[in-house]
Amino acid sequence: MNKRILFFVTIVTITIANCSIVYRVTGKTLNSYAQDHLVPHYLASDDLDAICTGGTALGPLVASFERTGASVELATMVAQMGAGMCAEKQAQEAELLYIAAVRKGKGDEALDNQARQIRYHGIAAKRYGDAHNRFLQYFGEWNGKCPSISEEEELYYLVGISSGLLAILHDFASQGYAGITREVPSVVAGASKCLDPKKWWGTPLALEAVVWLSVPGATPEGKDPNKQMEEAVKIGDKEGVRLSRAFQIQAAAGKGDVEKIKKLILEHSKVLSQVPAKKEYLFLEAFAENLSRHESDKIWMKETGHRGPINFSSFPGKKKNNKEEDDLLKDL
Amino acid sequence: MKKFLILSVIILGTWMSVGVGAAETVDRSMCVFDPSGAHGDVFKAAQRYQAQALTWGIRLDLKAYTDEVVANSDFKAGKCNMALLTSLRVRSYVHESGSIEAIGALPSYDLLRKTIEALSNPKVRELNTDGEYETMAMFPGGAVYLLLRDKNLKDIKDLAGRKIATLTYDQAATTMVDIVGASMVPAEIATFAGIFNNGRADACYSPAIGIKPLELMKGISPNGGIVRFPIGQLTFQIVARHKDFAEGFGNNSRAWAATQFDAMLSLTKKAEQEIPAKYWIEVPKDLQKNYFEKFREVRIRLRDKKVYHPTILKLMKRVRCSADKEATECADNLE
Repeated sequence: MNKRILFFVTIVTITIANCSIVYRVTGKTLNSYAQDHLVPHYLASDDLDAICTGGTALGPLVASFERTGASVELATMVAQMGAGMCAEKQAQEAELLYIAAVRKGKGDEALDNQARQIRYHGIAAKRYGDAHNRFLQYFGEWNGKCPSISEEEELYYLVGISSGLLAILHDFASQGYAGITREVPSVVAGASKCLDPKKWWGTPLALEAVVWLSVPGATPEGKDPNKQMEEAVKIGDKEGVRLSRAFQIQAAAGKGDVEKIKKLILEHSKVLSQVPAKKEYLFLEAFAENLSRHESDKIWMKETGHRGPINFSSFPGKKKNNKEEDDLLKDL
Repeated sequence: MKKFLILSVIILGTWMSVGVGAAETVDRSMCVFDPSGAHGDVFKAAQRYQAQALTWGIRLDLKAYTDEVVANSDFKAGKCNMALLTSLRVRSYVHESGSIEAIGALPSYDLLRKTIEALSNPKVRELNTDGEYETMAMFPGGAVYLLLRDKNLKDIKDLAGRKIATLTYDQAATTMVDIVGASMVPAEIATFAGIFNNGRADACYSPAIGIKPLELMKGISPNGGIVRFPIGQLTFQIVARHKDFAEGFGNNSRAWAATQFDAMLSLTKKAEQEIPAKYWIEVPKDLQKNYFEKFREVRIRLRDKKVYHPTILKLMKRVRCSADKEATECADNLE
């Protein structure tokens, strides 16, 4: 009898041990598969919806492999970034409906949509924040010194710091619901110095500038955030990855300067038809375009009650050069 | 008392229904020409117009036509209140606005935009009206380019003696063929691509958006190309009988249409970008002058024949000169 029990226990132990080995190996495989194929595939796609849905659906599965002892930080980080975008899009929709309701004078509808917007900003902040935490887990907590980053890891590093910035911006918008630590901006500004701005389409410069523009007193002496942003945008335009533009518009939106926002959106629209997007990074282009389109739609919704053109190339009631037009039409 | 109350309710009800009736939208119809029918992007633009028109109190019923001749005759016969047609057709209703496509008059999209914006100014409503008709909107349809089977023909003088596939009803093109001393191969929209591709003509003309669907690359390859100098600007215009619409409708409509310029042009720009660089024939500055002079000759001749309206030619010249004050034409008074 004792022998039998011993035999049974041995079998079960071996099976469990084998399973955990299999799971761990699967986790490792998944992680390297994600790095080698899934993420490059994501980045080359301009289908934001597919990526956000994929991130939301697969994120928990990928993250669960952590329980087996496998390190899945990078794969989880990308999935959570995608999931964050889903919530961000929902927040954007709620915001447009809120603006429409204000325009129509419907108080209940406006308040309800505003409440939805705040909730979705909160979810976005949590997801982006989780992505940022995975970044810290993988590369180590920021201690003011750049970690050693391999060439393959650089892109993940950029995604990690970008998600930190997005987390804090959405947390502000959700009235602090996600509780993102207020250290993040300084981590983002510091860590962005570890990447070559030229190689990464000016984005590291833009990230640093957004922090300076969003956090009062963060700008170091002798630095001009707007100038640095312009420089970042120039590099991005030339390379065909206009992520810096998205951050520039976000910074302008934060200041509420509508005329400047309009000008930047029109510039963004124009450059899209002039310089083709880099095929390997269509996703980042689509993300940037989505932000410009949303800012454009907000202005349209407020002024006309409906969204604007898909390529955000014009605004209602644009002031024309009347003097020049009068000259053209004189005595006709 | 009860009777009085009932009466009051009836009167009030009648008054309210009259009141609501006055504020209600008015039903109108539009014949829309789109070579691709209801799936085409011109029809989609018409749908955007339809949605916008609701905000001006007009509910438009849209009808798609793949044949412009039929769309035009239905409008003429009064089967629809307005029509979305090419400027070539609109010219027979509103001489002025239909002249915007004048050959070589607007060599860039910026100049076309300026002209359309100027014409949407409420101060010049009369430039959009002619008799009972009014042009309610103008949309860019893309620049028309000359396509060659042999790229060595790139100077306009080289076209002498060559065969050009020409739409027979396009008076500007037939005059042009005449002036450059070429010979015309009569064609229709449905046949010109075949004529060009199988070598029965040395040249044809088309907007970039037609090049892929009509497989015009076949005619261009391997020795030909597309001359990067717009012969004219194709435009789609909405023409209407103005008595069918409230006063001020035209001004609102034209101002809105002018804001759609970029959206309407995005497909054209994409089509132009998709043409491989090797097919574009860049025209050197001195040869550009030759093109420009020939085109001007045609414009003046067609103006004298009353095909193009003199005021619009004058406006377009001003637009050109506002962009390039040094141009030699700005010193003379021919247009």
